[in-house]
Amino acid sequence: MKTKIAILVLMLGTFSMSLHAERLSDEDRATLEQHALEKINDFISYLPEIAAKSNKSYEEKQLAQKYIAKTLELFIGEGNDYEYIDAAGNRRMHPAVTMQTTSRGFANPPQPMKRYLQRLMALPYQTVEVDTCQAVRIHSHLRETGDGWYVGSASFLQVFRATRDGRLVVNDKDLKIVTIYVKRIHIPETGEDIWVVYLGDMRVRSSWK
Amino acid sequence: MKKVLLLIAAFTACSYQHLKAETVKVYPIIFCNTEDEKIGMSCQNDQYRFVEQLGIIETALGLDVDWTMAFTGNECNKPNLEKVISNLDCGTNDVIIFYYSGHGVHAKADAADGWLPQMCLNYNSYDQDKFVPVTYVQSKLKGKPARLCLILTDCCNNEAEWVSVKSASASDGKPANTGNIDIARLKKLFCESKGTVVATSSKRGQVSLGPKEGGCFSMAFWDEIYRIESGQGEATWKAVMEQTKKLTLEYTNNKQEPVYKVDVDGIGGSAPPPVNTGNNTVVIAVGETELANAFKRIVDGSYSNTQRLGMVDGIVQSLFTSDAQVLMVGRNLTTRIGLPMSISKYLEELALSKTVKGVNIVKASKNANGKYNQITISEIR
Amino acid sequence: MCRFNEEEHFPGLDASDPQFGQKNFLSLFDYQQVQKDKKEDFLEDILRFYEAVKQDGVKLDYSSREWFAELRADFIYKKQKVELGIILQTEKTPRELDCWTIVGVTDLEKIGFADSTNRLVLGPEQHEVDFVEIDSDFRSSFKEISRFRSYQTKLNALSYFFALIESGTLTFNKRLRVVYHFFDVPSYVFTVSYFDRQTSNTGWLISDYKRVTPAEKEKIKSKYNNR
Repeated sequence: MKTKIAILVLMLGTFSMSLHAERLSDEDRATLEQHALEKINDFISYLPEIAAKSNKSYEEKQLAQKYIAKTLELFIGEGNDYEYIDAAGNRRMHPAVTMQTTSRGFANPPQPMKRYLQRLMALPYQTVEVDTCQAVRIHSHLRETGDGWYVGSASFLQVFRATRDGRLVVNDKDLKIVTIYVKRIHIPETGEDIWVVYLGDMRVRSSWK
Repeated sequence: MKKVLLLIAAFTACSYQHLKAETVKVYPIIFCNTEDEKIGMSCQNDQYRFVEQLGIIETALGLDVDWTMAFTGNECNKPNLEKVISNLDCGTNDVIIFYYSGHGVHAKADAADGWLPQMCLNYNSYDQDKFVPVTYVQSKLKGKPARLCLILTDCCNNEAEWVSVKSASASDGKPANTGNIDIARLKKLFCESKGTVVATSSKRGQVSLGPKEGGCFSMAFWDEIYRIESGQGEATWKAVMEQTKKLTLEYTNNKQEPVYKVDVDGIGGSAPPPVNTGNNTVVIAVGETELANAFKRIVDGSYSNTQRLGMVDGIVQSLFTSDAQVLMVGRNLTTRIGLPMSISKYLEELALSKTVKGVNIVKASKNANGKYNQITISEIR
Repeated sequence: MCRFNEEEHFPGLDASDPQFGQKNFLSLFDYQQVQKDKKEDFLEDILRFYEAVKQDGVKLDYSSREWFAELRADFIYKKQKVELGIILQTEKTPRELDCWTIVGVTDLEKIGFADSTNRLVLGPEQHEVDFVEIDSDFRSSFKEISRFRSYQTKLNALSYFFALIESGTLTFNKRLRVVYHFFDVPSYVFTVSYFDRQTSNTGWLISDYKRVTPAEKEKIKSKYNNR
């Protein structure tokens, strides 16, 4: 699947995008895959700063909102519907990135990431831990999808624990799959390529007891 | 009469002590990866030092040490480890000392391991299924009736692949003789203490350093035991581990911090994995001291996010032009990643980040007024 | 694919072991498909399978036209839930980029699709009466209207499926699971499914395999790509 962000095009007034015949070098690919893992780690690390903050102090709530904005910036479309061009060259609209969670071992229907983060903030728990599990692996190398876009996927383990009144009320551990998008932007003035990595939909692969 | 009674009491006490020493059997279980091409020599010296130092204690205290459980080279493997622990049969006054020197890693995504690493023994990275968690040893030895159990591991505790051991400053080699040993203090540690000590040479995320003379943690530990033997320091396991930790930090220029848990004689003590206090913040900025200091503060986890956010405006105004840009590169320091960002936005991101531990300022350029207008950064996580 | 191609191997295997290849191959299989008393037969079978792979130097490849993905999904047809299989294959776009496309659909007979050889016909005189019979045929035999087609015309299940979807008669409900069918190994077909277990026999494993003749292989293949 290939994706493109219309807003990004407008922002990049000084840059031009052009199709290049060159493919991703092995070194670039390894660096970008590492960067994608870092983005996943960032995502996981932001969640405890957002979770269960709606009944906290004003300062904590403000900070949580900042983290929600930061989290959305990690994703393609920043949580909104986005336009993209598929491998056949068709211009299409893609619904906003979604997040799937589990409850007591069962996968819930995916929900838009914005809604997930807002709900996370509103959870009525005393403490929430989202374990900083490392991204497990990138599934296979990034694949080119045209117009300077590459796509791949990765799995990561996420543990979500919540307490209320001193008791552990939620203890979910699941393996998630996430799509990864990489966009190459060429700067003709310097001849450099800039690579931008975005995360996509997150789905539950399996739930661990 | 009183004198006689006192003499009898003293004699009984001595006999009891002697008897106590005679009935204390020590079971050292040693696993050292002595044939690894990178660290084999270091592990070999760790093994020699362990045997030598425990030998001194054996002689000084008249202990009965079972030396049959040392596994090195190809014998440093999982089946041997499982077997020796499983077959270990000890009494209630005995001492078990489990010692490992070799490669170690921290299990990815396994919260159950907590702060303790996995021992790679003599296996390679693709044989991860054969690595043995220290928690396995801990739980198995907990089931043994020994009076005192020491578990000491000198190995890396990071989540990276293979990390080569770098040289670090070695400690002085302390002479080995039993002539001037403070028996009472040694006895307190080995014959009169009851409980468990679990210690590993570095905290989660860190490598363990060791020159060819041996692991820095192991050297620090035996150096502290030597101090106790010399009549210095406090003869409790809590104090020994605390001093070992301090010495290790000293030997490694604060790059390696052992972690331990002492639960002896009801006197607990532990150095749990510390929260990022900023001591581990790394900022590399050759020739850009002011810049380095500014970034060091903004990634310093000992400040709250709000405090760090509060630093942004001050840093921007004092060091940067208003339109200064930050360019990012990957870990290879060349591949450009991410769109250029304004310095304020980037510093705000850093202030909120939970995963960036430091920055490498690859390039920095200033305008005619001496303010930075562009910097190129690679993040350290 | 990497493990099948021996580009990666099961952790714990010793590369210097003379039976490394066989042991690695064995690790690709779902062991629970083996009956307790048939273990020896299973192992022999796997060995034979392995020999066939080695003999022909078979390597699985993303771009191969010999593998299919079958996405099992729930649809709603006339307010009833029905599970169908959507068959996909990799392909190159005109821009020479990889993509997945839908090549077939299975289990459509659950919603009444049948490529019956039995035909319904209109009378030979109908051209004289402006084909008036068609009125009643469409009213009373509308459920079988496809049987009025030419003897030379086969029904295409995929087109039937697309028509139902695009008209809103059949609606997608949710994805259930994916399995992959491989036809790359001469004389064998095998299926890979995902097993979520806490043991080491977990993940994507060969859940089914069969030794087949070329004719049988083509027949199974045509079931997937609706040809």
